[in-house]
Amino acid sequence: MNIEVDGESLVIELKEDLTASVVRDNLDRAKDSIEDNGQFSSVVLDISNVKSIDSIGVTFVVGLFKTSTDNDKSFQVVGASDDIANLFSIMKLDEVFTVQ
Amino acid sequence: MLQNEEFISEFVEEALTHIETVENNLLHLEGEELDLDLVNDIFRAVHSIKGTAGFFALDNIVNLAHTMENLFGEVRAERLELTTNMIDSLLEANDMLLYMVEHVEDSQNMDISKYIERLNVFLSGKDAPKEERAHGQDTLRESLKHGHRLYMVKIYLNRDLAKQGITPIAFFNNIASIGNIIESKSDISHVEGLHNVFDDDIELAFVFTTVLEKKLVAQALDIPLSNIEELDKDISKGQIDKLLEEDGREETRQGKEKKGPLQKANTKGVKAHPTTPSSKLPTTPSSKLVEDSIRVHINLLNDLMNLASELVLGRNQLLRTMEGHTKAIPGIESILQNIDHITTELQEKIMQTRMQPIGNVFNKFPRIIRDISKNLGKEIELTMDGVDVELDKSIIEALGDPLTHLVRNAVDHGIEKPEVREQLGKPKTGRVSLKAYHEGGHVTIDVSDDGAGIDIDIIKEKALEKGIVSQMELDEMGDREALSLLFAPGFSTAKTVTDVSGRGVGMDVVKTNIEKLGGSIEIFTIKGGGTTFRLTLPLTLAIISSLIVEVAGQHFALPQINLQEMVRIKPGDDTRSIEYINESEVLRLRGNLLPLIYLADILGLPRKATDEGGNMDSIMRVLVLKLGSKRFGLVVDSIYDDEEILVKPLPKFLKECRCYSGVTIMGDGSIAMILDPQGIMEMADLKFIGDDGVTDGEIDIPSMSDSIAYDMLLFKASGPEVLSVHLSQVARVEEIQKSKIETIGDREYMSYRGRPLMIIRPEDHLPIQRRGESGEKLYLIIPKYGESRVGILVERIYDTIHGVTDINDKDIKVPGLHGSILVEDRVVLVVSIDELIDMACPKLYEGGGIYGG
Repeated sequence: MNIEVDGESLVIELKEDLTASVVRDNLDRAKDSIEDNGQFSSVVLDISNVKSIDSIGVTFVVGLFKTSTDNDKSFQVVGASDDIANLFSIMKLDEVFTVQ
Repeated sequence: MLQNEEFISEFVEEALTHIETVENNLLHLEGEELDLDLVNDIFRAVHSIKGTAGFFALDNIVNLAHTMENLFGEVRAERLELTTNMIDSLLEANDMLLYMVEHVEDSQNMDISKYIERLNVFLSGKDAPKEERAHGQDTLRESLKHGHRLYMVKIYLNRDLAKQGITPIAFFNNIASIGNIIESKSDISHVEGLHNVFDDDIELAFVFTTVLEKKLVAQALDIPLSNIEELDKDISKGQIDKLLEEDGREETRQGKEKKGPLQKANTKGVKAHPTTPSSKLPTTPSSKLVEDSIRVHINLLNDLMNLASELVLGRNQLLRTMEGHTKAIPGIESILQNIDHITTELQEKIMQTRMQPIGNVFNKFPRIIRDISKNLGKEIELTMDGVDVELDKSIIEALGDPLTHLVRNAVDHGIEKPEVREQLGKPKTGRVSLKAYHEGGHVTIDVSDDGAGIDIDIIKEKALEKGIVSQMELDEMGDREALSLLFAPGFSTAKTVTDVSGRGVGMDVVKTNIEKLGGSIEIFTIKGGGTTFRLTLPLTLAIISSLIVEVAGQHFALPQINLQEMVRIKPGDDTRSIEYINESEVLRLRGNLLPLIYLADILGLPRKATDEGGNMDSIMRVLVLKLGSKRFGLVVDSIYDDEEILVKPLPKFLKECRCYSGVTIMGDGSIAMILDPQGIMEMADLKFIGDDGVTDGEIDIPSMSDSIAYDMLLFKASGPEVLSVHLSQVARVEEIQKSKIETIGDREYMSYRGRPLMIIRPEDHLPIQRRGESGEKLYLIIPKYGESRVGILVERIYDTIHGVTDINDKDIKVPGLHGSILVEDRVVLVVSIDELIDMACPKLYEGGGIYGG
């Protein structure tokens, strides 16, 4: 997982599938980066490389969204595959945050 | 792998049933609109096979079943259309599945790749979806129209899905494969940021439609049954939203608002199954699958059957032994009665356990018809009636081959090619029908086609050519007898040997097999109009009801199934007299001549009833037996009681005795041979010309019935209309001479059994044509309820038909008529005897008499 500030955005880029083990390894880093109160107004989750996502992965995405809004940052997901976009759509998560 | 044979054989048994379901449903689906219930059944069947085969690591079966299941999944989701091509491939795959299941030990070594490849071609072609998966009310209505059920599912991503190792995407893909999601909500209020991602959970609530039953939904989605709730189909979209809202009370949108921990705590309590009744919708009770049957090994049933039979025997012996002693032992009478009663009931119940629906045999015919008709380039529609009619398992099993043969024959030889049919002005599509119905103590099965019929002249020609009969024999033959030449060994009328018939298994085998079962077979045919093969079968084989008769001091058991009536002839009785035709004795019974066979002669025992000169020296007892359409009288010395007897097979050394079908032990412990009327008739070498007199064979009628049926007598009055009456209302039919009719006033009478009998002419009272009688010979139908004082005068008796169920009482409403029936596309009026008599002589029923005018 690659986390870096790109201009106004904190970009969290997944290099692998979004599964429980990946979440476990990167959870604290992601949380700290958002709560760090850095000079960015939005959090962007780039999942272009993610082919599959498990339950914890979904919870993680929602957690990212909640943490972002709690810290007054906007949140969006980019690079979602059809499957994942479809999943977020069925779950109506795309009504809560932007999914691209 | 196959260490546990018992389980494997159970699997095989089960799988065979499932494979049959798949085949039948596929055939039903062909050319029809998609019936999702059928697809549902197929899915269930294939899924079960796959599941169980998986336990035994029968990978080939699993893989093929799995591929089939995938394809059915696509069809069910209506993303793929079920084409004839696809059905072909699925049927082939199903056949392979059958083959593997039947040879389960070798199944792993079989090559199934070509079947799977073929199915995969269809699967890969799914990129042209029939319709976009849509959400909302339209999908809901559309789905429900197709027989979908409506379910609400509530699950937690981590607690329910992750535990099962299911990813959310896979889960929704699964749902998409079995149905359509109508509406969904997810509750993310439990996720409190990133502090506790592994303990937080997201609740999903969604409503979707599928054809599957609740249990199967749980199975297909791999989630507990308790998470699924079936909803009422009449639910509106608004109600669904409300339901989902209510459940995930804090649904997604609230995520945008800040929430205090207190509020969140409240939502923790939201259960997957809320019990608020207000907007709860009742579930359909039909979604419950109740196990109401168990599997029992057939051997156990056979043992029970044997024991019950022995018990019947024991009971009979007990009753016989106690006869005459009952007074000596107080109270024994009622005990015996009780034992008698319970034994009968027990035996009946055990027999029932062996009963199976005839549908088990019929079910394979749609496939056979489909394959043969394709093969032969014919168009054939198959109808099956009375599939619920039950027969003993052993009969059902033995019936398969003969019936298959008859059906094949009907398709191959009976139904003409479409172009020929069109030329003949028949519908292009031929019809083959299978009908089973109860009649008396036996079951009748009609195999009918509307094809070319049988050309009796060709039959005769062939039989002569093959040396089966001589020209002289042919000349003497009636049509019915000539038809029965079809059953002669080595007879085949097929012009060319086709792939379908002409395999050397002839009709003689069919006949032998049916007769082995204690049944009989008859042919009815109309040239150019079709043919019906009628099989009459006993319900069961082991215990039969029989009449004990005596000849020359020996007892014999005669199966009741063939017995029509018993006639006692006193010397000097004019109404039942013995006459001679060509030195053969015949009994004139109610105007019909009945050939007589002396059982004593057949068995080589001395006759008692008449002396050498044929003079009657005492009372003569004649049993009127009916075999198919043939009737004859069997003369015996004495007639005893009827008795339920246990049929034991003939010992080997008696196998050649054609007049016996088995042997039994009677109540008194003595042994009695069971008579075989068919064999007796053959040994007596009876010749039947035309028929027994009542029928002149002009109209041969396949019946149109299923389970409950009337028997009708067909006749005509002076006009051309064919009329009928319920046979149950007819006491007798008498042949009379026209000259015997006398006219007194405006009424006609004749002397009948020493009394005047008033004659009713149907054409005087019914809306039918009137013409002059053609001949001197007329018939009188004597109704049962006319006290032998009235007779209905008719010109001709055609036939009796059995098993009429659909009397049309709507189109024809006239006093004196019940309505009409259709016989071979002819309208036959059903005459109400009561109303007719009432119209002709209203006073008869009022006790006023009919003689006064």
